[in-house]
Amino acid sequence: MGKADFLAVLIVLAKVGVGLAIVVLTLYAVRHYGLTLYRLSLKRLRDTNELVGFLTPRISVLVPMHNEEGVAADVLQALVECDYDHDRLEILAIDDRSSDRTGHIIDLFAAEHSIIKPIHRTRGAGGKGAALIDATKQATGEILLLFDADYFPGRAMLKMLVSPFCDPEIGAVMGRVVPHNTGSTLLSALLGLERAAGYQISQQARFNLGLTPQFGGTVGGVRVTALRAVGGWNSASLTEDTDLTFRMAASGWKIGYVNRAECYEEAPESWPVRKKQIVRWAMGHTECLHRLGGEVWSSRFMSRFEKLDAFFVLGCYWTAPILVMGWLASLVLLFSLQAHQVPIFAVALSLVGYQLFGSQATFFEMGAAALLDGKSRPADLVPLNLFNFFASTGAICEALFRYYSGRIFGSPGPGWHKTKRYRENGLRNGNGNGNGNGNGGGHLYIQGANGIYTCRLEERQQ
Amino acid sequence: MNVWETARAIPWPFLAFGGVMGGILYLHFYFAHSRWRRVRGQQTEDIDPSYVRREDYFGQSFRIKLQSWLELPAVALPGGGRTIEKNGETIRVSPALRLADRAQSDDILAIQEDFSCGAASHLSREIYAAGNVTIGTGSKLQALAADGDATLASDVEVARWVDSWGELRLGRNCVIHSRATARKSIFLDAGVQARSVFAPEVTTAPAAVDAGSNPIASPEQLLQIPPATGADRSALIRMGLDPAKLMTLGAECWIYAGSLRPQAPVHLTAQLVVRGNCSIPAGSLLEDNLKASGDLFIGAGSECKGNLISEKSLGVGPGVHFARIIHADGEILLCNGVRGESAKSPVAVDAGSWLYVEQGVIVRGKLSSGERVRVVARPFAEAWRRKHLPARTESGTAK
Amino acid sequence: MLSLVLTVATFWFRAPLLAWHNHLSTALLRLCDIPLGDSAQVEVFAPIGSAEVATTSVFRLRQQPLRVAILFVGAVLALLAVYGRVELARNFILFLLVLLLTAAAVMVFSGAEITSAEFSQIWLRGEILVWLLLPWFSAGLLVVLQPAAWPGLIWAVLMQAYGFFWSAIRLAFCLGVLHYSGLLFMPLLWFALGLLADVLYIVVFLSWSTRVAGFFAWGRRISWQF
Repeated sequence: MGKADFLAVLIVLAKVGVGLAIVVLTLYAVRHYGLTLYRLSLKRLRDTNELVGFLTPRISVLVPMHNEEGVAADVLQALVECDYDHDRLEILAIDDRSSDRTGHIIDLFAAEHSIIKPIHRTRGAGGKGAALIDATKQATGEILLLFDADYFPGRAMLKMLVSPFCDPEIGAVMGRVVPHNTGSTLLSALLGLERAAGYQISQQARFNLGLTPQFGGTVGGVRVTALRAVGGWNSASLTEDTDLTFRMAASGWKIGYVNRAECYEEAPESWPVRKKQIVRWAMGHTECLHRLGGEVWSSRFMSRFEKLDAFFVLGCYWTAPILVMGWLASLVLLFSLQAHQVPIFAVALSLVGYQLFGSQATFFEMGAAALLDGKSRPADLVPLNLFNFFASTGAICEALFRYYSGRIFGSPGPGWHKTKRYRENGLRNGNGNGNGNGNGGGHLYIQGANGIYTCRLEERQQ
Repeated sequence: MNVWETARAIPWPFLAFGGVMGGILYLHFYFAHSRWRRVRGQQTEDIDPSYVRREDYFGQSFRIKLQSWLELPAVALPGGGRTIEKNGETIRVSPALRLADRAQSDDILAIQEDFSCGAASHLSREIYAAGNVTIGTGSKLQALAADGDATLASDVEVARWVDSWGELRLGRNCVIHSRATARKSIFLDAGVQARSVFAPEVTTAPAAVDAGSNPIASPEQLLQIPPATGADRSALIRMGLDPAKLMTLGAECWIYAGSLRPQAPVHLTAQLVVRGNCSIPAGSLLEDNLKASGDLFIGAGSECKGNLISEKSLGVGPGVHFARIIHADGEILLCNGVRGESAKSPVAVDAGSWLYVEQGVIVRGKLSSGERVRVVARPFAEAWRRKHLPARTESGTAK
Repeated sequence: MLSLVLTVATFWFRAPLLAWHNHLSTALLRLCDIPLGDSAQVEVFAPIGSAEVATTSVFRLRQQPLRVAILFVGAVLALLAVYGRVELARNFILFLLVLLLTAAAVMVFSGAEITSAEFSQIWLRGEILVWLLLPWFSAGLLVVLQPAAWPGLIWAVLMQAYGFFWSAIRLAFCLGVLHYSGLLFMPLLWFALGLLADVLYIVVFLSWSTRVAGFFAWGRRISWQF
């Protein structure tokens, strides 16, 4: 094959690549725009907010913790202060093979509050999924509510998350996660915008449309009978929440979303931490796509619209390598001076359209979310999300490369990494701002980062 | 080449242009950068983690704030009472107060005994009364908190909320744009509208109940859902239940794939999700939760011990007893004679859109809506039923 | 309605728009003392027709390889410096490095060349399509978020005008870079200052208009606490 032939083939491949990128990314862009415009037009959210407090089944709150001495007391104290009827509430605080004082803190709280039941895992498989499996066996509630250790559930949170379960078809419910450390670094501020778009726009629109909002594994709840019906937690999955979401949807259960059940979380503050998170999500999602794709496709309970949206969600991380392929293919066409030398005007229009249109969809979601939250000023940060976008694209490409390499060559994927905590006993590590006393003299001072409550651990020890 | 020649060779104008380009590019990020500088170090604090939902929040909150305002310096009034100035607002504190017809007031009123105002009054700020309150016909208020009983005559409009620690009576065609709450009872006359209503007992104007002819059928006459093992399939189909469409969702939870219109009264013993419209005949016994993805109608005289959920409209026939939650994404109609009560906890009826309540309804708990709760007359209720639901005979079987 | 009007107007007045675009670029190039040749006519698209573009000589590798080498090394070092300092920008910088290395490789090994007219042709083909599509983005992005139609219309017209002027300025800059450094930065410019810059200003207008709309926000956060 001569050089000219090689270049001709390359150009054809480049055109096919660009064409594929146009089609796939335009479909995703249409979906993003559609959800955003639909959400902007909604007069009333589909919710059960007026029913908060009228449904009070027995619930078990699961809080898995692995080396969480910095935040354990905060979440347990917040849960104890919730306004749910304590006769119908149990809090299962799971010390998952911690090597720090997490177990000790849990025991202190359990000694003081009868609703807290400590579970100390000293052996067995690691990871959140395995911890949940063990805890679920011991739970006595009809509904399991889940919180990660670094969350701050508000007093009304439990009732708000339980109210959608009045609907017998609801198998799981998701609340809204709001980063509280958006002022720490630029990355956490940008992630705050991303989260707002994902919850305020995408989750709510999908719930209103009867699609499948995603159960996120924290700030959410699961009906025990639904969990058992679909085979329980999958400890082998990197994203057990996505896994459960689509197993439930394929089996006929619905996932609810409560936009007003807002709970604080800590967003990653540095890129290495964020990258680990993205890699895990991308690999987990893609693994769910392969494992559950058939089940979703053949589900007799999901409508065609629901199935289509499910595949959009499960395949969303594929857009990153497709986008990069489109760029590289465009580069080939550029050097061949065929970047826009197309015989059909409309095709050229779509080439430009995809690059502009496709890119704007996510930013449009962010702007709309900021507006709906009544906080339009953070929308100023949206242009900086272009860098976040590039960074995430690279990380996702790397993640998918590792995933498919693992499938082909059998190399192990990433282990389950707990996301780094920045808050310690209500204080910040390093040089960040804090609003509590410092550690000193061997005492452990615990103060909520928002000044909600104060507790001195040493007093508990007496 | 010496330094000068080198310097002359450098394209300074173009480099300056490059600088301008860089500046313009930075300007694209200027607001983002300055926003970041302002945001840095702040925490997100706009959620109140200690928030607890209270139905009578507005009234309680106002009373608490008023207590603190009453401690501010006051000026005595000649006829008794005093005024307090606060940030450009005036609080008028008075012993018992009786205003004539067409009274006007732009002050916050804090009445230490009973309060009444005549017809067509316009009171543009909040009112608190430690005793009983009577509001005349056609008056307009902003908000009302009464520690005693409160009676609003016909055609009164309240821009916000009403809260009473005693009994609250809303006269004909009253409109409450937000919540109406009371600690004893609320009576809703014909045509009343409110965003939500909550009290230990909420009643609408009495009317003859026509549900007496549909008592719960005897067990042999009821269609069991889910059917007993070994039940005659053809018999079930004749009664309107196709077993082939019935599938398990989970333990004690079933899905029916299609619309369900049983021909005989139903005895529901497990949770049921109907993927379509559902019309339950009169005299049915529903012991667990029932949901329809389409319209849901509960026939007259039925007993509902579980939740009733619909993704569209939901009609509750005359004389139905329910004991838990009724929720619809669309409209709800509670026909005359409906009773909602439970020994364990308040019940709730929540409509995503309008909640229509006929006369003769008693609900021990809450009525709420995305639009309004509205008391309607029999003709309206019948027209609603004809529009939303299939025609049924008086016995509750489908035509 | 406005989208249709703006698109039709852009198409109807494409010849004068392209002419003014050329005048502006040419004026900027003259201001920078960049020697210009005779204008050239380039075919944009069949429905659009042709446009007159300024021409300038493009630096060739064989003229002064040392200059190209210095510029290449300088650019790589600058990008690596940013790479080392700004974590969030690393993948973006990496992509720019790929573009730079590719261009350098093409320059050195294939000897491919491009004229300024050809670059302008590629540029105009992209930009004219952006101008035609921009009103539809405005309708979908800017107008929808506004509490009333008229602020959205103002933003749409502003963005359309900005797109036009900013394109002329960027093209002038790119031609200048081509004149002084040849093909080396061409892909980087086409990507970063081309469509990416278009995406950037649309995002910026989106964020500005959202900010302003927030003052009159009709979609205020629901006071769910009450």
